[in-house]
Amino acid sequence: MQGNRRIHTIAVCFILLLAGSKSYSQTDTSSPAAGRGEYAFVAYMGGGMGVYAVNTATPVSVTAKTNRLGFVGSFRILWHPDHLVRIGFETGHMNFYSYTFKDSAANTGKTSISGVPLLLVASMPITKRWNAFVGAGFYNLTTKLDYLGKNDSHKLSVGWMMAASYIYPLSKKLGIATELKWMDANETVDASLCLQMQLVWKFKTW
Amino acid sequence: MKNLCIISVLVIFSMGCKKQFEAPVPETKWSAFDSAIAVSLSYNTRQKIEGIYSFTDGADGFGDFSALKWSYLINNTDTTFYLSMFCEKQIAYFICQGKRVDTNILLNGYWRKMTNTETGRVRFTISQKNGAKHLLSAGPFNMNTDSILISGAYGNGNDIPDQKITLKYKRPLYNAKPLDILADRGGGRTSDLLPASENSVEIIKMASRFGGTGIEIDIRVSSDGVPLLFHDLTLNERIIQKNGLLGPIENYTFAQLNALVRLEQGEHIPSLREVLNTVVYNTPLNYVWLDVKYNSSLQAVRDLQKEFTQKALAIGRKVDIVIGIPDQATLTNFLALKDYKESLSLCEMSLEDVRNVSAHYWAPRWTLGLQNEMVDQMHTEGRKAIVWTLNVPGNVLEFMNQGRFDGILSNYPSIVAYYYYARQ
Repeated sequence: MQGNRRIHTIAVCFILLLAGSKSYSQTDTSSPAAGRGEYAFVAYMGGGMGVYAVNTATPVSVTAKTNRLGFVGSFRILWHPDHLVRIGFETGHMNFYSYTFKDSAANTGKTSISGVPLLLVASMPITKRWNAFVGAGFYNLTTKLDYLGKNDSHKLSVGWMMAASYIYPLSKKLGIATELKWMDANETVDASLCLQMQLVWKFKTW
Repeated sequence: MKNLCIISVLVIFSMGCKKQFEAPVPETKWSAFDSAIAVSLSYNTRQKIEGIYSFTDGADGFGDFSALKWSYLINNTDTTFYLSMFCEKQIAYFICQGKRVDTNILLNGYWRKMTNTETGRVRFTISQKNGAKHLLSAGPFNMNTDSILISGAYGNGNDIPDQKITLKYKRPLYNAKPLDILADRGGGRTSDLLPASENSVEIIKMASRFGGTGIEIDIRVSSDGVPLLFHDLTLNERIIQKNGLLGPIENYTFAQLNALVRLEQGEHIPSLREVLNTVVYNTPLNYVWLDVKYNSSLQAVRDLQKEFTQKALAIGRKVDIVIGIPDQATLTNFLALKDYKESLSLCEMSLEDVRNVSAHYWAPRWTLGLQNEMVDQMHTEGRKAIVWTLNVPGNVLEFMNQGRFDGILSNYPSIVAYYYYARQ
């Protein structure tokens, strides 16, 4: 319940931020074909850190030490049409959290939980350089356990993400961005707040 | 348009909060009941209390009648006896313990309604003039001359009971035609907010208090081949406390699961060995349906079936431990057992499959209907039939009155018990 409230608070703040922002239409209104503007495929590639933002809930039967920080890398490709909403796909890799532990017999172990997001993404420019992203789909989650033997186990969880990024243009086709992102594997109640640096590349236009 | 989208998303988020449902067992301290002069009831007294009673007060909350039935739990050398009162309305039940104080009988416990989260404390007294004299005497109970009036009060949650409740003895419990009352998932589902998690040792210890004469349990196997109890294919927070472990339970060794995974109410995932040990040595349960949910050799399950059937016989108990065959894969694995014909089994598939595996039980799902002719065929062949999983009271009543099944599996065994014992 507490985790849900936190997610809702973040979501509501995020949406209010968008609501308070000035609406922005396409900056590039050149018209390569009669009756429409420029279409483009844009790739977003980035990496950064995430902090696990919901209850880690380690097993009660062991003494555990938790690490909430983890690497986050993402790759997103979007189709930018000549109107507000862009759509595309996002994947990547993120470490949600890990913990080391010791059981009552002094056996030690380590558990880490990571995920590969597989999300359909929609995006909208908020101002000239601020963009909002929302995505829904699945997270392919992996638990790596090293305790009385090693094993990896996987589970597909429904999930979503939302993000806001500030893009600073380097050239007509390249930009760098800072992105703040909430990534949420809803089914397993795993969620991280991530900060990433990104390279934005408009690699195909027509 | 953009603002409309934003407002819609805001509304969805604001409505998305999940309500937390709980039905904790109330505190049942009662100084008179817990006093040093309160002593246990004798077997004779307990037996005479059993029966069908009418509510003369409290019918609004619990219906017109209640079936009172004792069960027990053995812990080492101690045996605790529980008096369950099964009611029809809102699938309510009371679970009490009984003691004698001077010339009175006190019953102390709690009530719960399975259709919601309502629960509370209850305290009853059977005074000397209201039947305790007969109940505490060594002589038999005479329905024509003796009467029993159980009076007391119930409350909500942990409140001191203050609402009047009275039960009057009407007739003995029905027992003319036996019926196996099977409690699903060892006693009930975690989602029904029972005092213990589904498929745990703790819920199995409670199953007879909920009305079960037997249990159905879900069998999977760990990566090192240990048969254990778990319903779902994967570890998930419907059943277990969050711990970061994900994926199929078959990916983990039993030692890993035992050390790191806790069920919703804090219990560990039990091995089949531990559970059968509990059934045989601690409970009055006489039927265990092993609902096999994995696709590999059944030899370990078969070995445990043999071992604990023998152990039960060695202490003078007959416990039917039955291997369930729900699908073709399990059927193939069952037929691969060298001695499958000697193994008690239950087949959920066609009558032809039942015959092919020499199953002792046929168990169709209830949605297929009463199937009286097919049940009769099974009876003619010396087999029994059990129907699953009946949860709606009206359906339970229909199958009990119009069907010919030998057993009913339910998540609410108390309502099956009520309808069964209240038959005339």
